[in-house]
Amino acid sequence: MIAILFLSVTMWTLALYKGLCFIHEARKEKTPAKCLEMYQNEPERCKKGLPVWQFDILAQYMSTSCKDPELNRELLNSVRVRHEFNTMCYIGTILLLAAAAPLLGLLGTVSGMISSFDVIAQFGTGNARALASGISEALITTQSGLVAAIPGMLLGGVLFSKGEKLKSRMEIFCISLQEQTDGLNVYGE
Amino acid sequence: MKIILYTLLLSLSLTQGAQAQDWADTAKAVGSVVAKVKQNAEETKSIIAREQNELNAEKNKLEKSINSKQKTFDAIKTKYDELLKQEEQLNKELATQSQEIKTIDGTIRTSAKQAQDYFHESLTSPEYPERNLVLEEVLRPERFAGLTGIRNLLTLFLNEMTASGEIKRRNGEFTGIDGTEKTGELIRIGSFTSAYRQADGTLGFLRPSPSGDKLIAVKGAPGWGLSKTMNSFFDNEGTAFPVDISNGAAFARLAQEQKSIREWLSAGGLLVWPIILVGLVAMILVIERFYTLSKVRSNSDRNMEIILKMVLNNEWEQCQDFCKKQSKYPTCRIIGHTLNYIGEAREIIENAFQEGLLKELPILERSLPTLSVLAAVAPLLGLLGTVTGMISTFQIITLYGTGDPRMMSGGISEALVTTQLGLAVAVPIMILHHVLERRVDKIIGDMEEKGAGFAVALMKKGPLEKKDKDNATI
Repeated sequence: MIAILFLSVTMWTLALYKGLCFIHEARKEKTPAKCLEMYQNEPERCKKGLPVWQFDILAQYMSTSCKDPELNRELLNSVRVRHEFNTMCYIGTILLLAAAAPLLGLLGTVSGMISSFDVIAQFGTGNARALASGISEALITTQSGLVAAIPGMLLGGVLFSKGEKLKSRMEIFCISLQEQTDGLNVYGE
Repeated sequence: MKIILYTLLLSLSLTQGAQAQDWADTAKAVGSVVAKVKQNAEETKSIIAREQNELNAEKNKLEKSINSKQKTFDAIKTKYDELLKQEEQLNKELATQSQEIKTIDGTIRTSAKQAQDYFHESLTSPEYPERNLVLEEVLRPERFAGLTGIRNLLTLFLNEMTASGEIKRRNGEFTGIDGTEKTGELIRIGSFTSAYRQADGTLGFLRPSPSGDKLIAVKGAPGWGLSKTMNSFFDNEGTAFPVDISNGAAFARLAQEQKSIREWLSAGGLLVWPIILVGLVAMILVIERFYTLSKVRSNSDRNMEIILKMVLNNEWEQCQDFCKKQSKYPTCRIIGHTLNYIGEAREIIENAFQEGLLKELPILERSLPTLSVLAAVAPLLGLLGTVTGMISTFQIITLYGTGDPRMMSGGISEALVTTQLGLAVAVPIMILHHVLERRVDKIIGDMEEKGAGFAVALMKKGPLEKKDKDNATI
């Protein structure tokens, strides 16, 4: 029971944290062209005004890019992979906790049944009151396991799809960033 | 009568008539005789009359006394009849009263019997050894207890009432769990709970013995928290004490909850052992993984900066040395490996990097798949145990029917224990596997990123490398 409570508290904290992060980041998100412009014109404001991933990719790319476009793409890829990893961080955990909650509930069910069968072994089936305590333990844990799991699964799913969308946005951002900087380089030359 | 007498005298004189000379004498004699006779007759007559009178008087007297006697007799008889009636009535009354007394006697006996039963199970009895004597006196057959008996019984009940409202500390004897006599501090709280503390600090609860005159220690020691409160109460510091208001059922649970792990496992049947084996293997793997991964640093941002600076300054040798020194970072190991191919074409360098990565991967990911398999296998084994247990339960049902729930509980507890164990093993493995996987993913991500950054840095140096290469060939 305590384990389920702990698990669901952890799960909800992570989910809320992750959800707030997503909302916060999505509000600050800008188009690649604007990002570049901001980076070149006012680099101090850039760090606060852009989401962490956009700024990070931008900064790393601008500082390390070279003339070879293929290498640039690879570089961008690797930076992106890191941010994708960060994006999906905790979502897997949330899903896993949501999957573990019903298992813990089942565990509670089984131990409740064991205690009620112990009661049967001791007092026979006559003592309904003693039986009921074990059964209620069994049912309450199952219930709380499911109660913890269902919203966890839904939240995890929502966050997962959000993360996937963010990933695809990152990819688009990287591609357009490269296009634009390549253009710049061309113009610069 | 006179005539008779005259004739008699005449005849007498006639007989003597022959004697003429004596006639006158004779006449005279006869005359005197007659006179005498007359006198006698007179006397006799008077006597008779007197006696008659006396008799009459006597008769009257007797008749009177008879009358009075008859009267008294009648009076007594009526009295006797009355008394008879009274007796009958009283007998009737007696019959009804004896019924009542029988009822009262029965009530007293029943309550005495109840008291005996109650005191047998009461924690207060060992403090009042005289109780049994009183009860035996009251319960003695074919004798009415009487007012003293009733009073004694009442006193017993009143004593019990007062005893059930007090907390009593004393030193006394009790029978330990192992059956030996022991002494220690005893505390009794009302008629609910009694506990002991021995001189060596062992604590425990007490219950009355079957005969009611002794206390027996309850099997199963109180836990750490309970012991603390109990100790502080024994030391007169605390005010709280654990009380069993369920008349012993809680103590039974206490003993039951402290079933040893071995008993618990043996209840699970044979399938417990593979599950435990799975758990052990998984634990060993997890520990090994945590140990290995704790030595591996995942984030090498700072090192990368240093390396890139070195690369910028063409300090290849130092770079290699640095990489060797920081070999607990897998990223550095790979870069060190890649540095051997400096000056080759880009494809070759990339290939070298990939090779280094592929070399590192198995070390990092080793036994993670096994862990996930184990996490999947444990609940399956539990399920298998469930099914096995249910099968044995149903076999018992086919043999003996459902009459005895105790018979069936063996199979059911086997089923449940294996399920429980399977789940208890699987959930932690699952979570730990996830944690480890995340960590490995992070390390791999870091390696790939840093590798790409390194490659870019190398490529920027393109012309210099060629120079180096030229130098080398010359």
